[in-house]
Amino acid sequence: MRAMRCDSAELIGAYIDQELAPEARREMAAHLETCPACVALTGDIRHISGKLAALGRALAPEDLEARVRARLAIAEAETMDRPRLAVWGERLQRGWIFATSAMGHLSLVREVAHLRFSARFFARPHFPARRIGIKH
Amino acid sequence: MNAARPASDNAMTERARFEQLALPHMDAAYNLAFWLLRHRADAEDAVQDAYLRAYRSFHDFRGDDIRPWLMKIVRNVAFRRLSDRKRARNVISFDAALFDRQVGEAAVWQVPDDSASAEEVVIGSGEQATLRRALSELAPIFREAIVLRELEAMSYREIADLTSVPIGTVMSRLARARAELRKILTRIETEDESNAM
Repeated sequence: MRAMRCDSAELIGAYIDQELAPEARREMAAHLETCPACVALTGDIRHISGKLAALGRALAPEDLEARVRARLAIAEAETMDRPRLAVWGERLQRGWIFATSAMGHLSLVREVAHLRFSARFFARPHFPARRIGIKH
Repeated sequence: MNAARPASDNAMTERARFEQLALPHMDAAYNLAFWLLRHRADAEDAVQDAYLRAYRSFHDFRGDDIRPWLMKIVRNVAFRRLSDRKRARNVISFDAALFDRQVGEAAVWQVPDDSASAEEVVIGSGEQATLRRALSELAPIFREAIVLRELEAMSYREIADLTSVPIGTVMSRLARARAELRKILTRIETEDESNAM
């Protein structure tokens, strides 16, 4: 356990805030019975904490909740439209994937057929000058 | 067939559930946003943005207590606005430096200053006004620690989780914030006494 130091403002703050573990709390209480400097610091911190707590929160304008509700309602309406758009978007995406996949298969089939033809009649594969592939 | 109808029913229920859980914490959300931004209009905007983000991410929320999750979003939104504000001020200042050498004059007045804004923060007179002024002069991370501890009564663990720092850092920030507050209050009191003479 760390020895109690007179300048342990952090520990004194934690003591006041009731955040110390029981054993540390007992140690601090015992220390405060013998250390005037720490007692003074404890008093200062308690004083200012009390004043701050009494300050209260900054008050939100009365219509803020209504404005938040209105924005949430707009966001909800956007969510209601999104499923229809998502369905069409997904269909378009599937169509594109199918089309490019089909073209890829077609291209592969043609390449393999040509290679086999080339291998049969030529020493090296003969590639056509114009290659058929997927354009990006 | 309207494929959207089941989704719309779910969306209605989702919003109602979100509002039921989240709206009770609006005062805490506004308080944190206000003390980070020290500007009422900015705080109102930040709270609205934060609630919207929270609603859109509601499917990610797990658990019963929405407050820590919501406050983290409010905090992130507020700090983002703070850094946007600084960036805007630097750009305006830079432009002013290039085209008009009178930097620090009218060129930067449109951006809320990072220093204390008297009319936004200091309401009323007397001791509470002095305390608000002193609180507003703290650096944002120290001001945040004080607000979360003293005004929102959060535990060190809750503050650590919200601010994503270890508990030791929370203790350190609180200690420094309290020490700074005492210095600022002493300075203000001294100034007031000098002005009174």
